[in-house]
Amino acid sequence: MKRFRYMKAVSVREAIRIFAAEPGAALMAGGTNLVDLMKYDVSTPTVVVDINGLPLHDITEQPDGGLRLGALVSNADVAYDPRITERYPLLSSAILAGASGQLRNMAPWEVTCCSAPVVPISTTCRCHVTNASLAADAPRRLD
Amino acid sequence: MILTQDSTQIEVTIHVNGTPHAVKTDPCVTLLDLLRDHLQLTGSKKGCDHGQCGACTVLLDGKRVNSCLVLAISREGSSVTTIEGLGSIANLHPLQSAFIRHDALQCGYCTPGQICSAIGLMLEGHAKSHDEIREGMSGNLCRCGAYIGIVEAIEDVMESESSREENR
Repeated sequence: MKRFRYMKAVSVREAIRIFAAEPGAALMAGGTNLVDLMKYDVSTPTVVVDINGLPLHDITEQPDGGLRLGALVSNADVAYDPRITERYPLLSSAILAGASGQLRNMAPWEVTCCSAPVVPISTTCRCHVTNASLAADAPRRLD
Repeated sequence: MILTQDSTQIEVTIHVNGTPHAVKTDPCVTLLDLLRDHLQLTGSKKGCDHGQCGACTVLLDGKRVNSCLVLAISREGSSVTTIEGLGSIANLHPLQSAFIRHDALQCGYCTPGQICSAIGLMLEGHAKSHDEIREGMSGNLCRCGAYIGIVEAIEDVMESESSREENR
């Protein structure tokens, strides 16, 4: 693994600023993808920006009856949330069909549902979830 | 505010099996390497080192994770439970006893990860049936093929715990 600087972001604004200012930066959420790729030197960030301290860990009800999933909610927490299992069983089933219990505890749902590790497109992800479909726009560069 | 660190050694404090350890480490050191190389807790094993085999499984703040994919520096203040923190020779954890009773290992290399994962599985509380236990333990590979005994051992402990709950 190549050496890198480590930064812990404590606000979304600052995380975006650092990420934009550092060409060699990578955002680290669960780390299950990024750390693995770094071990093979497939990903060689000069700066790893740890975003786990950002306030993106909640699932909240929306006025239109939907749910807003924070980008850092783990796969396990999404898949087993009673609101998800009752109202969006397809999403729960899809998450539980992949990875292992350990990885589902570590990796945020956003990465699983919207990830494209070698195609960084955006720093944010917005997903619209309905009973029958999950359409994601603006995938990632969250690890 | 952003906390910035360069690539020199940084001190991180992690509570392992109830004991706080302040360790100076490089940002690229994983939790698994910190446990094994810095704290000499070699119970957690390095199998694939890529989060696929589960031999490195520990409980991190109560949840099972692959410690080979966790940067130690990112877990300042966290609590880790490894196989060394579960029981002793004189006082085995119920799952350790069950693994022996059910012949749930041959070489034993994967066993610490299997047991930590099984504890995590039980804490999660979602696996009830034989098939659900098999699925829930799918992140832990056993090259000796002791899966039958492993699932039986977990079922055994789950049944004991549920009967204990019923008798309360």
